[in-house]
Amino acid sequence: MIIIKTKFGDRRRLMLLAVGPFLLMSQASAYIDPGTASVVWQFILAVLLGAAFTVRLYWTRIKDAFRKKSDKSEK
Amino acid sequence: MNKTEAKISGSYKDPSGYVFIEDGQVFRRINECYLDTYFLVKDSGLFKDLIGKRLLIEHEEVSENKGDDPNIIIKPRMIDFISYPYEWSFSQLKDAALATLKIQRIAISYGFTLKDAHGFNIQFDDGVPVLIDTLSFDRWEHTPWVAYRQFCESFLVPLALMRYRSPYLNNLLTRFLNGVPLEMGSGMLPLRARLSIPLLMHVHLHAGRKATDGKDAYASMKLNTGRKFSEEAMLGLCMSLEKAIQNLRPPKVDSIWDDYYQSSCIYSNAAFEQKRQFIDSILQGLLPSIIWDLGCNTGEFSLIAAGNCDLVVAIDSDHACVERLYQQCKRDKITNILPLQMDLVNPSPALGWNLQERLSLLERGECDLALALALIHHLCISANIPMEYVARFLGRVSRHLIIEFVPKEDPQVQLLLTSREDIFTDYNREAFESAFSKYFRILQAEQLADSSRTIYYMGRL
Repeated sequence: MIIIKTKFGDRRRLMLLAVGPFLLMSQASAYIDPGTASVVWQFILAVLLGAAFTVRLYWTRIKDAFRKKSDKSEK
Repeated sequence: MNKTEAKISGSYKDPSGYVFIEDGQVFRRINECYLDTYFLVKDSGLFKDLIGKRLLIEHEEVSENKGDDPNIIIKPRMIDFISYPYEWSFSQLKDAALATLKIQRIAISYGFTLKDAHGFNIQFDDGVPVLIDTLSFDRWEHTPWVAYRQFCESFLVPLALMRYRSPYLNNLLTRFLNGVPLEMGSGMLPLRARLSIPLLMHVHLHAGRKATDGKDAYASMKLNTGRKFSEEAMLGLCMSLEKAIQNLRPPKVDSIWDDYYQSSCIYSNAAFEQKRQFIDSILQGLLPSIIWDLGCNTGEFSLIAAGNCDLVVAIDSDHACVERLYQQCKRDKITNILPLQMDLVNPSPALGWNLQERLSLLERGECDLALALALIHHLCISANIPMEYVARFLGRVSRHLIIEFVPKEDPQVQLLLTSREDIFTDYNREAFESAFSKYFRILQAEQLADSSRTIYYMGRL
């Protein structure tokens, strides 16, 4: 992601994240396999979805660890 | 190809192998180019795991690769009735989508990926969606999901359209066999669909990502070869698609049919019980394997028939009825009813290349017994279909028939005639018996108690 340093720094970065995908839009062509565009799109999503998956995985592990601890203390 | 093999016409796209029919049995020949992958998948335990979880159809190897024929042949277990995504209710399509994502997640954990993700690879078997294309797996080399777009267009877009616009929009899949194009789906969805982040991501923004020229394609190839798609990213993609699908709730549409039996007083308790006993006694004598319940409504009689046969294909044109029956079967663990949404006045046609890829209703075999209960007046009076045409159609699809004749003096027929001119001078019991006698022998007939309706049991001539 490009970081534009201005006095509105953070806000500008957020805007870039929000409108970025729209800027990447393009028109249709019958000769190019539309799947190629999906490949590019998946790479764009990969960072976001990979991070979401990892956060969820660790969050589940933390929850499980606490659950096991509380089960043991109850016994 | 072996000379005796009858390759099925829809099995032509994948070079890995093809399906053929021999002596009424289905086989899949695996071509040499896919043998290495087949054995890798087999040896990894992926087939066994998916079959154990009821996500993949079982198969047995019936020939080994030796001698002058290097290919091998597998014999998948036969599915009793082939159905298509454009005939499924919302929840059936949703369950098929979730099963596809589950298969992809499991495949990734074994180092493989699904190379196809369309609804035609899924069939309902014992009430659950299973993958029938055993050759759908490829080695996963940390690349993006090749079937991502196909999944979105085959499942996510039709489900979103069914949810937000009309439950009948799965019928778009008859026109777009490869899936409803993202751009089209995105344009048809209401603005509020954009409030769902997963839908925004996988439909609307994805639709905007369409390749225009070689530059974009080149960029994709460069990314494809140069960068690895991590396992976390792939599982994150599947998780996000699952979220998008799970967030979609069944559409709420007012239907006069989904509580027809409960809210209306068409039958007295005595008449309903008489009808049930009539059907039950015939089923116990006939022992049919496959029954088609045509115009099944919410499946009151499909549920009765299911106790005495291998499979009931329950067909109705009303989505709410089909959805309700599917939900009930799932809840009560009834596995031998396959509810399908189809208008008998315009049943599913043959589709695809040379009109041979997807079979019409008539091509999907005849049944042992058809139930046509309280249906005839809808076909003859609402849809103007001549009685003789109805008899010919039923004679073509079924060896035996239980049919209810609803005469003109019946309050429901009178209701139909309030909004239209009565041009049906030949709609009477004599004409009915005469038309059906051309195709069937009337074996039994009973007048229903407290009603002018008659129920018949017939055998095809």
